[in-house]
Amino acid sequence: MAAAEAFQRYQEAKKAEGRPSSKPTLVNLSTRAKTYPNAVPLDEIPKQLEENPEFFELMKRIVTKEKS
Amino acid sequence: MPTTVLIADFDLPTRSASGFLVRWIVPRLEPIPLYAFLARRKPFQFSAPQSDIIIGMGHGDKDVFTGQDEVVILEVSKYDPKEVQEKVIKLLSCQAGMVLGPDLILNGAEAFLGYVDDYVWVMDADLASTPWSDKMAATSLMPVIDGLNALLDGKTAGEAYQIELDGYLKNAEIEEDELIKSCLEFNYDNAVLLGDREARIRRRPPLPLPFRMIPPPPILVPLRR
Repeated sequence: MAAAEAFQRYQEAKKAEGRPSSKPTLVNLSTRAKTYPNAVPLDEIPKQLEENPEFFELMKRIVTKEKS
Repeated sequence: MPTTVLIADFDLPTRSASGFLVRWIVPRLEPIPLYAFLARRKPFQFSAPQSDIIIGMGHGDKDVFTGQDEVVILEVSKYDPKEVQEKVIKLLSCQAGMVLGPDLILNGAEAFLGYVDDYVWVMDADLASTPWSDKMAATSLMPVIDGLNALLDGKTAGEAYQIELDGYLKNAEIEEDELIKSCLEFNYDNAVLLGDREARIRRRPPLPLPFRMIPPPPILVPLRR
C-alpha cells in the first residue's frame, strides 16, 4: 500500500512538471511464466503493486537494487 | 560469414526493442534477419551454425530464450552445441545470463552478453509504429545498440560490454525521471559478460549513409496486446 501511494505521488509530481503527453509504459522481456504483465502503463503501476506480489518484488529490485 | 540476428516483434516490449535493432543494426548485416514470423527455431537452426555472431532479442527466463510469440529458440540442454560453438552471443532478454548464458559457454560459445535479471525500460506506447523515435526507450536501448555496433566494428566482447555499461551510466547521470534512472541503473547492475573478454568477430561494413539519415517507414503490423 505504501509503495502504491509513493508511486502515485511520483506520478502527480511528473504531471506537475507539465511534460508533453504520451503513454509511458514500463516494459520488460520476461516470459509468460511470470505473473506480471510485460507492459504496465505508468498509471497502472500502483494497482499492480497492490495486487501482484511478483510485480511488487520486481519494482523493489528496480528501485532499491536489492538482489533477489 | 553471415550473422544470425533474431528479432521478435509481437507485443509492446519486443516492438520497442525491435525498432532500435531494425533502425541501427539490421542495415549493417547480411543476409535477411530472422524478424517477426521468421524468429522461430527452424530458421535459427539453419542460420546459427554458419554465423560468427548471434544477436537475439525476445522474451526470456533463466534457462530459455524465445522468439516470435515466445516459441523456444534456445533452452538449456535442448540445442545442438554446433549452433553456438565459437560464437559471440548477445541476448537482449530477461534473466538469460543466469543459467542459459553459462550453459552456452559450457557448450562452446566464445562469449555471452546478457542480463541476470529482467531487462526493463520505459517506452512510449503511442510511438509503437515508429519505435526508433522513442526518446524514453532510447535511454536504455541505445547503450545496447552502441555495444552491438562496437562488436560489429570489430571491437572485443569486453570493449563492447564496457561501451554498453558506460552508456547506462552516462544516461543515468543526466536523466531527471527517477523511474527511468532506476531502470538504467538496474540494467547496468544486471548486464553480464561471460566467456572470453577478448573474443571478437569479423568486422562488418558501417551503416550505409542512406540508413544513417533516413529512418525506416512506420511499422503497421498490429501488436498482440
